[in-house]
Amino acid sequence: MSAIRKVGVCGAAGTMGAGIAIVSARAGFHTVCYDVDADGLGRAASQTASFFARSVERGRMTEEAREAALAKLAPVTELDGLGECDLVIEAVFEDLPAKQALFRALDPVCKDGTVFASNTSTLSITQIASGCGREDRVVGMHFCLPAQLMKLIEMSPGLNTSEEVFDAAWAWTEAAGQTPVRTQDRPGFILNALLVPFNNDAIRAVEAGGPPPPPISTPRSRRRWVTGWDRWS
Amino acid sequence: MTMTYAIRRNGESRSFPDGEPFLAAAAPDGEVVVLLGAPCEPDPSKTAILVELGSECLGVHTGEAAGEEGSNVLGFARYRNGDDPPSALVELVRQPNTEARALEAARAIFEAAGLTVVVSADRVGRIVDRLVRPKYNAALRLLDDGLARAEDMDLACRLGLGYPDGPIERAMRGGLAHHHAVSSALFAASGQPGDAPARAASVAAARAEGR
Ligand SMILES: NC(=O)c1ccc[n+]([C@@H]2O[C@H](COP(=O)([O-])OP(=O)(O)OC[C@H]3O[C@@H](n4cnc5c(N)ncnc54)[C@H](O)[C@@H]3O)[C@@H](O)[C@H]2O)c1
Repeated sequence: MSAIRKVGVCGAAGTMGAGIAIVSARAGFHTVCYDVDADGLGRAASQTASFFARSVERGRMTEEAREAALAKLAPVTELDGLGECDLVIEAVFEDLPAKQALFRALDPVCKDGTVFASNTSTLSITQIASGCGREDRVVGMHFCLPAQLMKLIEMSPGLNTSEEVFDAAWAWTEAAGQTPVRTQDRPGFILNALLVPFNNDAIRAVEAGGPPPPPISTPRSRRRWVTGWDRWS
Repeated sequence: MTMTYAIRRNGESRSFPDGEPFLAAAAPDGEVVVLLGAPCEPDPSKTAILVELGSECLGVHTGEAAGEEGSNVLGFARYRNGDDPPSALVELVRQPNTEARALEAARAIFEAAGLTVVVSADRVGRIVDRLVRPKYNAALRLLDDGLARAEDMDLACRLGLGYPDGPIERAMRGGLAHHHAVSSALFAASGQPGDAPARAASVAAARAEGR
């Protein structure tokens, strides 16, 4: 059971932030969508509305659920709007000073118990948390692209993250209908640590006179690339 | 193109074990000769001679000529993870001057058997092992480093990358000693650190050898 009721998403006009906000609202959480880009928030809101409308068309969601999810979303362009959130997930630019500055600014705005999560792909959770004033309440929560369709979340504690906070964040991901896996706080976590060298190997194999790309990797659906060995198992 | 093929067999084949329909469809004297463990002798009267390969290069069977080699002889192997049943993928191995009609004949007989053909240059590991063995090694090393539990690494690859199984479970199922053998051959040829067998594979190989 998640004790988290209200969720904030920072960078909610971006690719990942908008998807994470969909995950959260769809699961019934009040979701504050914060971004510095007001126009971007407007564009994200209309894309989210289209996404939910398509979900209804395809029978993945009822009309009532669509309306309920949309009603859970609240766009804001001021940090103060995140004050009541129990969990704030940041998905702003992949830039250490930007993420550190955001968490530092959020600390006095948010409740003492609020958990901060970072969707970073490559930065250290420990470093992102450092200096924010609540280093024990910061976790790594790495969604996959597109967040609104992919179930996996790589969860990583920083060096100072308390187990209680990690467990609370973990419980929220499950309550949001996602599938968490635990990994150490290391660049690339599991997926990118394995996928990036694999992609490089595939390119090198082609350059070294192997086959043209299609036999190595074929897009199986619009949503995701299914690579390598799976096709021949 | 309809092609007849003869099979010369010496022992068990990894690509076509007993009972495979491909074996039953062979003719006593085909235009193509498929060698399953039998020695490779030149025979220019045949359209193609196909040598089943392990992890070795085709050049081991044909000899090489400073990058100019090539004839009616091709190598092939059906991809198979350890003792899993053979997959539908056939890796066909050509040399720089392999005859085009031999390549087309080889492709035709495998495709007629319902298999999917990809063509690779004559390199140790061909395409699949060349790509997946370093990945298994990387996954096994990350496991040793304590990055995540094996189940979580596999689950991440299934959910995040769409794989039917993850690298650890797949390497284990195929056999770590087998993985060690293929990886060692790759490493001997490439010298790439990623090809060097991971510690757990070396342990499994040592145990299999009774060391
Ligand atoms: N794109 C992916 O495939 C992917 C996958 C997993 C994780 N990530 C991670 O997610 C994060 C975001 O990536 P993205 O691709 O969605 O980026 P993006 O550029 O699409 O979106 C970033 C958003 O953050 C906003 N922003 C920047 N600084 C801000 C601040 N201080 N306060 C509020 N809003 C701010 C921007 O206006 C923008 O809307 C990165 O850390 C990235 O590594 C990306």
